Amino acid sequence: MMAEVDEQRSAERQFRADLVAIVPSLRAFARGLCGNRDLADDLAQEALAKAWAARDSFQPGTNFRAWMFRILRNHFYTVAVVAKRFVPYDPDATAHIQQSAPTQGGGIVLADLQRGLATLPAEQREALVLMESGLQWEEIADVMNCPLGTVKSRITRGRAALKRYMDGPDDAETAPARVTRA
Amino acid sequence: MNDMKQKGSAMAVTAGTRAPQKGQDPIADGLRQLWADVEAEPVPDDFFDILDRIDAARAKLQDSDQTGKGSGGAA
Repeated sequence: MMAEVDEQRSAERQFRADLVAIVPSLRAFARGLCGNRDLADDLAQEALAKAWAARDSFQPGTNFRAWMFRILRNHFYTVAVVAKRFVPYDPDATAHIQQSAPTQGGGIVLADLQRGLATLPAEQREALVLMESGLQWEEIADVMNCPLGTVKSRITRGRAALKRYMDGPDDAETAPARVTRA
Repeated sequence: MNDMKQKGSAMAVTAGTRAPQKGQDPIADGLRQLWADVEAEPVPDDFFDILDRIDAARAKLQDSDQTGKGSGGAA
């Protein structure tokens, strides 16, 4: 009996440590879904609380990272969006982005990339964000609850749309609001 | 609490075990950088407050479980 209690407490300590460890990644995923820092942090915190409540459903030895991302994503789409607390890529996101430092990443201005992300359908943006999350393809499909082929299709279409946005349209009248920085 | 912050900070540095694949294309690099930038941000105290509340709730639950079992045994 005591051994069972010790084992349970040990498992809970490990679960808690795993929660602490994944917070930075949860924030990154939430930011990718929301665009808005404050809303994203609210979302990540609520996912933490939900994960704790559902800890018994986690199978030790399975992918904790994918499990947590799935919880956050499901909360975002089924609860938060329905309640209109979180709108995919909050309109305020653009203002937040424009205040951000013009970090360079791979030869492009990250603020431009964020504005491009904001123009994508949510499912394409989500797939692109998860692609950089450290998950494998199959795990991304699991998190997004769709076939692997659908994930790849969304990434392909999302990347193409982003590239078009970053390159700028041929017609100047339809050019996106690009920010020129020194 | 401080211990938790240290853990959080440590993970912020070490999070993201994916292999570096820089130079594939600018969009992939940019997306990777966006993710890494958020992961590298200091974690707000709010997150640790939530975990503290979770810990407190867990302790309370365990106490009530033990009390309940004790009562059950005595009955």
